[in-house]
Amino acid sequence: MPESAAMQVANPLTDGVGRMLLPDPCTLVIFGGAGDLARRKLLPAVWNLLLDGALPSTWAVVGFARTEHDDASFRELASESLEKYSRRPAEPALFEEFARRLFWVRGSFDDPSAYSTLRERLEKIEPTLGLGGDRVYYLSIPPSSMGTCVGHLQTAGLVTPASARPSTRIIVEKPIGHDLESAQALNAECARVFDERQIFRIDHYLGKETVQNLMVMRFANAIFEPLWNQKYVDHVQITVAESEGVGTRANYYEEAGALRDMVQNHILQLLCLTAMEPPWSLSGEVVRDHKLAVLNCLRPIAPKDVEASVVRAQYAAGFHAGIAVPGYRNEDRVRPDSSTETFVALRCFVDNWRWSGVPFLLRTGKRLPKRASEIAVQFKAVPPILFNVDAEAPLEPNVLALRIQPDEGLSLRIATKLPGPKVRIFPVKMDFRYGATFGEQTPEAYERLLLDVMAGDATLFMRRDAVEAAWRWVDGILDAWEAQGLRWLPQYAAGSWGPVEADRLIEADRARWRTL
Amino acid sequence: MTPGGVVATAPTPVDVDEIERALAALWRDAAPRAEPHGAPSAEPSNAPGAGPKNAASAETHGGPDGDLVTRACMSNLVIFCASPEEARSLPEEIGTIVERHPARVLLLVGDAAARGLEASVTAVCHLAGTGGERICSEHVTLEAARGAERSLPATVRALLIGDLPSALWWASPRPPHAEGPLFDELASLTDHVIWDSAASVDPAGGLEPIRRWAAAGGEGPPPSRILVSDLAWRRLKPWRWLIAQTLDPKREPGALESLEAVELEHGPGGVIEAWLLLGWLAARLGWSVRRAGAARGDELDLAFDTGAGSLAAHLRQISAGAAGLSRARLVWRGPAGAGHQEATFARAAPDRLEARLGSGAPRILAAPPVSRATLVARQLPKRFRDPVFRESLARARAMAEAPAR
Repeated sequence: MPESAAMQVANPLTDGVGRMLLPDPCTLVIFGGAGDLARRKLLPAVWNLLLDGALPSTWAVVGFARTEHDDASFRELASESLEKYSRRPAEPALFEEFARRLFWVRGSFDDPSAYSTLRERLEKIEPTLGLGGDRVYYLSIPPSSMGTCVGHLQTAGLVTPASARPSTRIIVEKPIGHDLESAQALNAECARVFDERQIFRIDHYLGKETVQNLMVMRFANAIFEPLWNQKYVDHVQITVAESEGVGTRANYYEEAGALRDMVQNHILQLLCLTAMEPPWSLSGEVVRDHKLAVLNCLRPIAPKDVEASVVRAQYAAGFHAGIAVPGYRNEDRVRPDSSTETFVALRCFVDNWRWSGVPFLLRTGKRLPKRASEIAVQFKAVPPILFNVDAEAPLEPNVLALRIQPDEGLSLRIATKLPGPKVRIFPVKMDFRYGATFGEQTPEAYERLLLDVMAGDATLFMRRDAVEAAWRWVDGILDAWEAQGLRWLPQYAAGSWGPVEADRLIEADRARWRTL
Repeated sequence: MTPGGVVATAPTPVDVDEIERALAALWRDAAPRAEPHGAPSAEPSNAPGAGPKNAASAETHGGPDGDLVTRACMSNLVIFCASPEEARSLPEEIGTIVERHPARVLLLVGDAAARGLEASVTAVCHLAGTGGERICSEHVTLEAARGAERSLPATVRALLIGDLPSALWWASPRPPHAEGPLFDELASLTDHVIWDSAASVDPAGGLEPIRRWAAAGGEGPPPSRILVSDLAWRRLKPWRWLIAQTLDPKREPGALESLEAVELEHGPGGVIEAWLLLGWLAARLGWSVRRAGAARGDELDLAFDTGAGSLAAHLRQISAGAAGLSRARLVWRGPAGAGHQEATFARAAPDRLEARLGSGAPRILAAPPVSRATLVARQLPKRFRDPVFRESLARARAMAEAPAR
């Protein structure tokens, strides 16, 4: 049980107040406190949690980086960040309460003395705000600095053992490594200092409402689960499409590519939630065990099969929102002979009793026609009798589609009769949309996830063994690619749904990629 | 458009037995755009502007101006007002409700001037996101002359959409049973009753009807159980949250067990909220009321046994300020040698509550005023029984019945 749950029992007044989590008072230290993630997501998330009264009774945020800031300018940066990125605006009266809890410590991630300065500052700030020393360290820093950072945290006496109070926890942002070896090395560096219970590897996809709803849909409804297996499911498609190009992330993306950037984490996590067996409890460890079991069942793609099972490609010049855009190799800070994939499509299998023989078709790419993420379960066709006798015009199979973003919701495609004296069948879509039905603004994923860390609930975070299992599977593909030594990848026009090779990939399954 | 972007078509009078047909026509017929709520329609319209895209069906129709309309419905919501005066603000409030919680709304209005039972239908729509799509709900108004109210339950029964949750919002300040058996008959058609005990014309008796329903709902077999929600209780949520957090045992060890005094101040009409808050503290912390002091004008004293000792509570109405609870002060015995300690909770500004504990900086909670329509909209999807509410209500009622000193 998370510590917070035990705490709620101890406070009879919290029963029925309607808050799921009551985190302990704590200080959030953001390494990379003036960076993009802090400005766009983390500071707005803290602000919105404050507005919702969801923060602990007292709290503080300390930004840490080399950037020349002091408390005042950090608060100014926070104000600008709320103005630009918060789903709810900064109201002057309340912003004062927010801002007085923001602090800045200047220092370099690799300078041990900066961590001593940080500790001294924390020891001054915390007593004045009634904080007992519980801390969350958010490592929004390059992977190459993480090992150094956790080492210096320990040396400076900023880490406590897992079961001790005050508590310390770290949040690690993706990418967690570049391959299995580097992920293992990074995990080992963290493990030298922190217990696994103190490490929260974040994948913001898992904080999205629709992703959380996937388990609710599967296990809170009686009608889906009996069909959720190889007897009834023809194939599953998971798509994470981006309409943007590489933008300002070329330095990172050139080293990563779509497989590392999207498949190893987001898409495999979605696959796990789609394919996992019903867990026997909703506790973090049990859910994570069940997700790991899916990764362990994922059939490795042998080097000889990589070409037939995986398609990679690069976007060429094309159009986005009616405007001509350059191809990947002509983007700023991209090598003109780059062989980094901006699109990948995979055909894979989960080798267990439930999913035996069911293709899982995964695709992701940049500069696709729209930003859209979806999990679609396509059911098997009805027998070729009665209404499905015309081989030239077979009935469209049922599809259950879960839209993750944007326009979160789910739809079910069914066949129905067109009105009239003749029997004419037409596919229609029953559509449920969160925005239309629930109206209210849904919290950003980072709000939920930050609150979970403060409360010590790791359910929505990736465990070390799962991260490494995902890398192990992806590494097989990466190794085969490296052995191929391709210098030119198939191209697809910006604004299209990918290369023709991706269509051919799934022809054998008599499947077609969905148009989102 | 209203601030929420809600528009409604002009109400179309229809015969009662034509209501379903008229509702279907709303979605079938393409027609000019809807007009803002309350604004006269340039050309009376009986359609939301385009063909339907039912939330649970398939087709998307383009309207004459190319926009899309989705009909959405999560619940049936039956609203009762005893007179047209009570119903005056309802059209706008219904817009607020269905924007958050799309529903088929059946507004029942007692109207001496009506000829028997008169009906009209309207579509209430709001824009969704940036795509220009409109999400629409159906709104049926039934105005009943005296004597014709008896036909309301049967009419409502026929208009409820099956397989959806149904709620009755008693929006009249008149106690439900002042309207004869109507309340019970309407309530029996639904599974959720919403009432605002603080708005009752008889504040002292405002708790009684809801206490009775809550008790009955809690005791009956599940199919007959009616969920009961009190908007006055809902308004206390930020107060309860702030008190719970401020006096959390991890932060203030021992405070909850050693409370000795509670003072509550409220504005006009806020006595019910004060009773409910005190009832909540008593129920959660295991206090039993020993006696009530004689009421002195707008003040009342109560004495409790807390198990560890006694506790004095003082309720006071202040004439200035907004209605509702305005301030709470809780005093407890500190650790040995530390003397007494206290925490005060106050509405420091219309949009926020503030907790002060010792000399530390105040803790602030954003708690902007919430309209009753928004409260109803928030309550509709909350379909779980609230034992804390039931216990608090019972304690509040026990306080009211406590023997005077």
